[in-house]
Amino acid sequence: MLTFLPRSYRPEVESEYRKRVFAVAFALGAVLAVSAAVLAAPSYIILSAKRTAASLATTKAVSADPSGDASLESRIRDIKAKMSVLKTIADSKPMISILDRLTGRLTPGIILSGLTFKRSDGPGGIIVSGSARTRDGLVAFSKSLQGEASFQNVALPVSSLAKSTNIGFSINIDSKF
Amino acid sequence: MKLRTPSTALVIISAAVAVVFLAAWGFVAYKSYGMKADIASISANATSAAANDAYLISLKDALRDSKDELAEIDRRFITKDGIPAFIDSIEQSAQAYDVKADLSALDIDESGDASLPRPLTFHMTGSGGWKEVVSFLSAVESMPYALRIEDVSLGKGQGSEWSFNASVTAYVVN
Repeated sequence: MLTFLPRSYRPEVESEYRKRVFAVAFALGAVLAVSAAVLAAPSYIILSAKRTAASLATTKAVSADPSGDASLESRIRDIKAKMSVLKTIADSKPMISILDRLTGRLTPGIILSGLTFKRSDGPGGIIVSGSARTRDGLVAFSKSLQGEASFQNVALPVSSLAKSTNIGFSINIDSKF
Repeated sequence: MKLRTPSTALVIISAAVAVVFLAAWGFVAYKSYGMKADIASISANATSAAANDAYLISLKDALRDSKDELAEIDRRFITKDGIPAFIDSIEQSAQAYDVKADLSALDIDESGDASLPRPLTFHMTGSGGWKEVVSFLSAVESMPYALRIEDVSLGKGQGSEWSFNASVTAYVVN
């Protein structure tokens, strides 16, 4: 570089020049950083407000009725258990309806002396005991019981057919009730 | 030649100012970025909580709208305090149908959750005419309670008398 400065001044001037370049660069950097910070501030403020609003919304939703939620859960559990019990009962046939079906199948000459109904998880059991005036009457009664759709298996012991009149019998019936 | 300007100090000060402002901008940018992630997470939670809240509100509304039906369900269960009245009603029913009936072996299954319905089991034995016994058992089965006759034996006694033996399960709530 062409210069008219005496040689002895040159290093100092060059050094001062570099320092000023650095100072200007740093000053520009500072201005840039300030500008960036200032421009970012509204975003920061908006985001901060949004976060507060979101937090409030969450808090409001979660703590709307915390005790109510617990009682609601308990109430629903209670209703569910009661409905389960009621369903079990509603699904089972009343004993009386089974009795009606059975007595409705009585044929002439049959005199009942005992009836037993027992529910179980599988097919329930019915035991019908009594006496029949004739063997044919007993067979007819047994067949009549077999005609009842809800009676799955009607078992008349063969030994009951040994006598021809005044026959004591005990019939086992499987039925779902 | 001596320059008067304190150029070294100027460089140091401007560098320091630049670093401070750069740090300030970095802080704002870092916080903003973190906040953005926070908002996404909080918004997701808020949406989920709001949906849950709406579901709970609808459940509460449904329960409120079904108040009468739920009260009817509740009435089907005997309260512990209501057991004597329940037994009385069975005995009154027996009297009404002219049936001799004795209740025995009353037992509540105490196992399980005490807040849920628990089985109350008991035996009924008695006697009466065929029609009366059947009507009485029918009346018991038709009582406005969650109740089921588990087993029943009917046996012919003297004359037109029939004896019966039944096991019944009702349900008790606290």
